[in-house]
Amino acid sequence: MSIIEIKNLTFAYETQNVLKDISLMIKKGTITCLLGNNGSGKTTLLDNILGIYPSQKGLIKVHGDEINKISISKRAKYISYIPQNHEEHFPYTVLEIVLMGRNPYLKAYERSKKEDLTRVDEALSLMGIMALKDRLYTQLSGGEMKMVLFARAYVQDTDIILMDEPTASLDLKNEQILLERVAYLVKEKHKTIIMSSHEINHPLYFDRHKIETQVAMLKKGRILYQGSVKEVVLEQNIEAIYDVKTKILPYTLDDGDEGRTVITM
Amino acid sequence: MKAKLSIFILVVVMILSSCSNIVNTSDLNDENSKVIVDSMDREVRVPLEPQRVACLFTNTGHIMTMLGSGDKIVAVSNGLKRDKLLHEIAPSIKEAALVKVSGAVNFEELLKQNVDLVIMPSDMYADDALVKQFNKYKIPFIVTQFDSIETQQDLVMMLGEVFNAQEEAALYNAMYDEIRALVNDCIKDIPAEQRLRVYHALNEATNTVPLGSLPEEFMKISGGLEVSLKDQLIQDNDKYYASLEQIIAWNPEVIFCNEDGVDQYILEKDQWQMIDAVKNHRVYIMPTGISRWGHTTSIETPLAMMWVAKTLYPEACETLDLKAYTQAFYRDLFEYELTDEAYDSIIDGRGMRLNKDLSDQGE
Amino acid sequence: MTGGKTKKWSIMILIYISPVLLLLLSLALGRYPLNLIDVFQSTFFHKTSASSVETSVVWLIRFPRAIIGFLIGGSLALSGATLQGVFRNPLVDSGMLGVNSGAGFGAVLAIILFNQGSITTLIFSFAFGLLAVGMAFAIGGFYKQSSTIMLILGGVIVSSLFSALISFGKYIADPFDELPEIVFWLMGSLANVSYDELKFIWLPVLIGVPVILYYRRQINILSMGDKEATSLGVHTKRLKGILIISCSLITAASVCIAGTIGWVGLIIPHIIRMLIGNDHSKLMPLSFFLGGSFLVCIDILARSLTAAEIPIGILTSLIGAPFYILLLKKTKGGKW
Repeated sequence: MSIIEIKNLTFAYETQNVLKDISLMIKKGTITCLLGNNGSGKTTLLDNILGIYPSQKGLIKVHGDEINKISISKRAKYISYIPQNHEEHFPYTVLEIVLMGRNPYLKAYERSKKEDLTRVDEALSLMGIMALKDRLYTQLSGGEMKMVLFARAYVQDTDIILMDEPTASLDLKNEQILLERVAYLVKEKHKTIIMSSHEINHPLYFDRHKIETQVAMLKKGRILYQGSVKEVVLEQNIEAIYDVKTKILPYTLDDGDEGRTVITM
Repeated sequence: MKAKLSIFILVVVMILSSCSNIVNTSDLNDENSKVIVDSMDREVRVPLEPQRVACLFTNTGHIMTMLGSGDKIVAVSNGLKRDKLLHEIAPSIKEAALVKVSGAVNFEELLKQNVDLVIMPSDMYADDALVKQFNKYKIPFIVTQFDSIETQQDLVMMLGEVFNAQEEAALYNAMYDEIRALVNDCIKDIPAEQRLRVYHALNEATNTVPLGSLPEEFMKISGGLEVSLKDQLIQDNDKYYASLEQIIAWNPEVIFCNEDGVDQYILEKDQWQMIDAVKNHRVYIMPTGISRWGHTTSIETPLAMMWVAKTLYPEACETLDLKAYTQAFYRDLFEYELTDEAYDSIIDGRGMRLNKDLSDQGE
Repeated sequence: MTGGKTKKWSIMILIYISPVLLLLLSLALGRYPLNLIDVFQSTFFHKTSASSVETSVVWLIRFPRAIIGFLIGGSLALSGATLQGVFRNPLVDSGMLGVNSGAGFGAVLAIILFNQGSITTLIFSFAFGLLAVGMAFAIGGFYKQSSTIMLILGGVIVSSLFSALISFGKYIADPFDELPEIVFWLMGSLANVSYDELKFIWLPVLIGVPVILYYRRQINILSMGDKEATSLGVHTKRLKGILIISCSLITAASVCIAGTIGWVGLIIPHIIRMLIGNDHSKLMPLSFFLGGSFLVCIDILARSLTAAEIPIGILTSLIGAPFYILLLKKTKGGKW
């Protein structure tokens, strides 16, 4: 049973086709990595799944219902979203930002309840940013900011989390922490994650951690290759998508885990 | 080519000739002109008999009409376009070109009228750029200003000289003095403690009379104690305002309003209800004839004096026959026979002026 | 941290009780000499310690003036805070977006057409205020990139257009100041307000303010931008519509009574942002109260600084403009 079904989705933005005939089935408790260059349509696909754009050809179903027929507040209980660039105009505290994730469960006039604060604390400890609680978001580092947005998505309690280039602009350590958290959410919390990325090693990382990972490779608004990591992450596919020659090398870690990695030539 | 050239020359000639036309009109010398000393003590050379006059200060238009030269007004400011009675007396003012609205002069429109004399208020004279333009086109102009009975009478005499109507001017001043003396006679024996405290709303309800103005002087003669002189007022350009609390503290016994509608405002508004004048329904709208009688520059100031005195002290002024004097005033000075009906509507003070868009609201 | 929190709490309490103190001060001060305690005694305990004139000066002149001043100041500050959140832009308020001049023009138009202050004035004022913000937003949207500055530019254009139309209307209508209303309130003045004017403002305030406060927590989310706000379960278009209409309504009511008083909607929310933080659930009610107190305070200054009464619009500009420069510097043209 797919939690998300996309059938023959075509999407045009200001007369220019950005997505062409996209079909994708996503199972609960899996990670889907959207790979492709900038401008290949990854972000637009995420926006469509979010239901930001009302008119489109084709069909997107979430939990069996068509996305545009689900009310905005219900949608927010199904899908949460971690943006790539979050531009902050007002210096909110970390607490204030993470609390916004509880909005779908509150009436418009309601202020946050004790339960919401508990959930926020839980999320902050999970992301390892409890110490930042009262700090201003605008004064955080890029990695910390991403963790805050991650925590906000977590308190939103959705089955599905969309991430737009979550590791972009993160340093190596933060990237590692983020991937671990993603793996944790899927394995332990059975979340369904769709993330766009241009780092080919991400699906390989999840694959090594025995997480069911689907890869969709996009180019110019089309999905060229789609399937499991083993089926899709191949040297000739990468070359077709990125126009870069690579080699995929197997490795064995000290503890016996086996994996593969992609290196450029 | 030749045709084009000739058209060009024709146009140039036309332009030049129209220019020279204006210059010629103001080419004054000892034979065709006389020298007048205006309100700013300027010596101005004006035509012996001005024929086309731009009257940019409303009250001087009234004076000109009184001096029998109303038909010489060819350009006006919008104030002169609004008084119904004036239009009956001097219908040509209706046709005069409107060259000044809200203080701004349309100079080209003025030039087009080919005037040989301009009469302007002192605030226009203060505008250097404007004065330069008048000088450049050699248009003679007289600056007028007054803030008391004496200076008002001086102005009438001066304009009498300009328009060769010294007799009419003297008649006005004589009538002025006569009424003043009559009113003074009736009022002088009223003891200070019986005199009434008066508040005079010049325009809006809180716009009132400052020290050293014509209304202040005539109110004194009429025996009213102008309450606004007690205190410092709020000044906005040439206007003075009292605050509501001041007015309540002064607690006038009588309120006069110049403007139709302000009396109702005062009578209806909650905050004014505690004032004696309102409590006792002694809020009056002043008469409007050629001008609003209570206005700071009214030509009917002598009549206003008498009307106020009679309104304040009907018993002491019983002998004053306002109707007779009013009828004589318009008959002798304006050659206008006032019917009983017209008299009543003047005294009533309502509906005598056109709206600012010059539409007739009354009918 | 706790020290900071105690400080914030005391500031909040101070802001919430300031209206009461200023109201008392405002009742006590004025040109008519009286003793406020006497007036209170005679009003509440039926002692005849004050004359009926003193009583009515306090209750018919000073009280409505203070109340109306408070409601206007509160409305302007609240709508400023709201519009900042809606447009994700700390540098706007109803004045910056042209709502004030739009509403002003609507009112002038109504006064010229119908000659009297009435409910029509309010409706016209409201409609043109709404039109103005729509225009400013449309102009600001021409160029997508730096919409913060473009929005302000749009507001400037719309503002100056409607200011010009106001002057034009005044020019045609009013060569002799025959319509004193227009002049009075262009300067922004509370000098002649009474309970009649209260009629104008209580209903719009009673509708607009609770509506805005109802959604105050969601304004935080709205300021995240459309995409994120939608993903967080906020119906952005609908909410923005509701908030902009409410802001225009309370602004129009304020403009109808006291003319275009600028800057309050900009200064006040920022003072709160600096003192308390940006959480709109706290910011909104605090802005309303501080805005109200601020205007009552300005009004007290306006009538006691000099013998002549200074129009409050001038005073708020005198304070507001330098404040805005500081703000521009601090926010570097868009972000806090």
